[in-house]
Amino acid sequence: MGEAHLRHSRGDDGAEHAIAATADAERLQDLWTWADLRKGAESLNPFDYFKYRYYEKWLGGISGYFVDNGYITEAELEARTQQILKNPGTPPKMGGDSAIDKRVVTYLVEGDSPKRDTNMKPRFSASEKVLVKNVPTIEHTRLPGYLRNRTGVIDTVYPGTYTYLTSTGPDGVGEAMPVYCVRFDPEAIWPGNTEKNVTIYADLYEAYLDKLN
Amino acid sequence: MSTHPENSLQDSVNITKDDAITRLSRRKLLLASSAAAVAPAIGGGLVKTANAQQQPQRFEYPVDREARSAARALALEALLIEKGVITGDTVDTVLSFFETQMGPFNGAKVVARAWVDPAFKQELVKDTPAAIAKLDLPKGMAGAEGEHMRAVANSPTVHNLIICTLCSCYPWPVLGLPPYWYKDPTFRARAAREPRAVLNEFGLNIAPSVEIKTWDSSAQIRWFVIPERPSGTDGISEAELAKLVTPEGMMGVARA
Repeated sequence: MGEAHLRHSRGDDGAEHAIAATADAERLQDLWTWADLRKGAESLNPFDYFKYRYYEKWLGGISGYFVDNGYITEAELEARTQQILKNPGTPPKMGGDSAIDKRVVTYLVEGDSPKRDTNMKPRFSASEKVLVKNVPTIEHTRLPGYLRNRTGVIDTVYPGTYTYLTSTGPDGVGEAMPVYCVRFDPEAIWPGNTEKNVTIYADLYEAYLDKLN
Repeated sequence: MSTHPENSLQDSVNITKDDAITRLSRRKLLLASSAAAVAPAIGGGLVKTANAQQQPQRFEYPVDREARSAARALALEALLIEKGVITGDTVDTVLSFFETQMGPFNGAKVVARAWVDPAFKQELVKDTPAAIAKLDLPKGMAGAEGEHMRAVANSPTVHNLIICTLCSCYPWPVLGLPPYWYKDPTFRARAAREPRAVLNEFGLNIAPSVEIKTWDSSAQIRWFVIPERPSGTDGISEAELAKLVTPEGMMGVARA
């Protein structure tokens, strides 16, 4: 797992002592990644998913994370929200441990590459036809729904292997594995219901692909 | 900082004039939105407040929703500062990073170089990070969401479009943060199935003879487009050319 996400672990002295005052040792291991944000959005009732605007989903996801993990309570968040609605000019408290901001900037500048060196060899080669699996996704996936059970052609075998931010369980990604750029003919995805002279390319983890029998 | 909602709303109009974009304008924007919720008490009940007795319907939009969300965002930030999870500067540090260091102004320089230097363009398509590393750009071009970027070039026979059907993957170092419509579920779905129709709605008519290649960012790669150099730009300097490059062009929803 990458080092650079907003996280609070034992080694992260930026947030550690501040959090330690209010959190138990177990909680110091909390790790938040972009996957948590995506999981939050994907767990919404579909009607809510399409109703809420993008940053409302973010706000729900990120405040839910801090509530679920005990950093704040829903009650204090609601109370503060009401207070701000009544007195919109109240400035927030300033200050804090500058090491936190330094760490944030380190992540932004250095990034957090999912590329890992492993001995895994790619199962597929360029120009090979593949079948996209319909994996049993539980709470999160990196496999677009419209590609499930469709056939494509390997366009690029990316060098190296790549992790995903979190394990998606039986869905299949998380640990380092080869990733491919796969080419699809939209006509094979939506027969008679798409446009001519279009090609779709999608980057897919090896766990999502099968040999075409 | 004004304590009067009307003034906050007034202030928000002047946001673009603020050169210090960060703390002041962002908070003004959120405050202006949250102030709308108290408007009924002041302005005479134009906005219907939520009725706690009423069972909310699945499709109902609470009328004060935007205002409440804005206030809740401010509340969350304030609480996280108080608990020491973030500092009073954290959010603004991130915002100013994308205002001043990482944004479409970097991508524009990369594209302009590709327009004037065919060898660079070739390398940019073949090994995007290596080509970008040769330019004099801010530190962090291989940073967050730019660790594995790939450029695709438009030509007289191919038009490229980048999308992320699953969420909002986007090459931050060259393009900054994605615009709202890029994350819209309708755009995400339609751009995959009927890109020509969607591009038409953007005012971009792609001839039937031109192949559209749609790149769906679903793993590690963050894509961006090298638009074609506009005609009639011979003799224009690289710096002037960079001014012609738009974020939309680098996403494939505009010519340049």
